[in-house]
Amino acid sequence: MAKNIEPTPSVKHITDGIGKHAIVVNDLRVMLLKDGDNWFAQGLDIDYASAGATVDEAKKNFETGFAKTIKEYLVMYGNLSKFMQSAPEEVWQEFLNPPPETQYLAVSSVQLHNLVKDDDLDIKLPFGNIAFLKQTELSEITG
Amino acid sequence: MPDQSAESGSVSVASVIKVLLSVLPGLNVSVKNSGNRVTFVKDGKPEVIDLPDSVPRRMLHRFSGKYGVKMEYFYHPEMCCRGTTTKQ
Repeated sequence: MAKNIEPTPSVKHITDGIGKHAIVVNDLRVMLLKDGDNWFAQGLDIDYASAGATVDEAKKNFETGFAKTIKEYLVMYGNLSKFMQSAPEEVWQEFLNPPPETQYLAVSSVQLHNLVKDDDLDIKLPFGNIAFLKQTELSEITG
Repeated sequence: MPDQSAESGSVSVASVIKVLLSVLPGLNVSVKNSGNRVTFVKDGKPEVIDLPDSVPRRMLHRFSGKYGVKMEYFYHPEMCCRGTTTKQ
C-alpha cells in the first residue's frame, strides 16, 4: 500500500555504552530492479544492495544482510558513522531514468543488538514498515 | 566450461564465491563465507551479503565496481581460480 506522506530517510542509533544498541531505521529508499530472471535491490540513501530470484527473496536478503552489516559496524566501531554513505552517482542516474518493471520500497525497522551476549534478536525482528511507493510519488519527493 | 545462464546472465553462487575467495585477498579485501552469506571488509568497511543461488549480473557488476573483481572471472572462473576450492 502506497504511503501518502513524504518519507524522511534516517538511521538513529542509541546505545547504553556497554554493548547494547538500538537502531531505528526510517524510510530508507530501496530500488528493486528486474535483472534477467532475478531481482536486484539497491539502497539509495545507504549504499547497500542484495539480490534474489524473486522480489520477496531480494527483500528478505536485503533485510538480513543489511541488519548483519549494521551489526558488523557496531562490532568494529561501536557506531554507524562510516556506514552512512549514499549510493554512487550511477545508481541515482538510474533512479532518475529507471528501466521497466522497477519497483520502490521504503524500508523501516527497529533492530536491537546485544554485542555482549552476541545474540541475534535483531534479525528476528521484521522490517515492519515496508511500503511500496509509486514512482511518481518518489519523483515528487526527490524533486 | 562457464556455468552462466545464457538467458539471464546470472552465475551460480558457487562460482561467484569461488572467484571472490580467490581474487579479493589479492585486492586487499578481506572476504569470508558461510554458505551463501559473504562478508567483505574493504578499507575498514564491512558488508554482509546473502547471495541467492543464482547471482544476477547487477550484483556481479557491483562486486566489480566496489571491490575490483574482473567481471569475466565470474563467467570464466577457471581464468583465475584453478586449483582453488570453495570454503563452506
